[in-house]
Amino acid sequence: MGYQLESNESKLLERRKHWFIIVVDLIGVGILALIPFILYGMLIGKTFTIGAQTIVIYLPTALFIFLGSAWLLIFWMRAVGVWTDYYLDVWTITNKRIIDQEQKGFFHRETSIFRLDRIQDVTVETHGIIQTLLHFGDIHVQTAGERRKFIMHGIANPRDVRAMILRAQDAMSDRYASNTEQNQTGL
Amino acid sequence: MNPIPQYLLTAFDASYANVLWGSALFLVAVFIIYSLFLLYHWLRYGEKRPAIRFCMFLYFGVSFMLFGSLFIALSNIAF
Repeated sequence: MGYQLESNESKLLERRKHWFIIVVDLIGVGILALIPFILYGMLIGKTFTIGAQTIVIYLPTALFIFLGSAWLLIFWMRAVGVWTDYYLDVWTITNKRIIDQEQKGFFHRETSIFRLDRIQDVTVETHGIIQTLLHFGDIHVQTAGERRKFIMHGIANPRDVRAMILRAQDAMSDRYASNTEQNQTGL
Repeated sequence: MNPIPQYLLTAFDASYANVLWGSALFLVAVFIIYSLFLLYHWLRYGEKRPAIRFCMFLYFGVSFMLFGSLFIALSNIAF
């Protein structure tokens, strides 16, 4: 998992990027996968003359199936790799911390942990008509730690997530305050 | 014969069948390595989630279908 939950720590929320982001990536892969078939469909049977040579665009069926299967297999592998990269990027909000797990490529994974009591500012940013209509955007979190700012890109319902972070932070502050009060009373 | 593949066969001194079989086996090798990478990440970070399991079945299922059509076509071309 990349992190361990502490004692008295519970998960409040786990989020990935909005589905629109992976759909756009996969459509891109799909278009690239289909281009040769579309071009072949447009050019089949056509004749080109280069110097003294006449070239007819034609492939025997078995060869077409062979090449087509190989091409589709390559892009299928790529598509699954893209989905895996998307699915393994996770933000987890607990009652004590925010854990940012980002898969940056094969064998390159970054896990960042931010304590809620170190968070100073949470800003939501929504760009453009698509993000506005589909309710996703970026959350900028300013912290007091070594890494001053981190950004959650393409998160769904960012305002709700921001509200949850701030509620969890307030609850954490209340717990510290009551613990401090109990300790002082005990003395 | 089309001049481009004729040139390739002459340049590499290979038969048509050898080129196709070699390409297919190279693709199998690439697929195995890539699949091992994916499996590693699914099993290490997937946390046994249903989505990951579904993806595994879908990935290998579709891949084997594509390999099936590839090798059946190849056996019709060069056997």
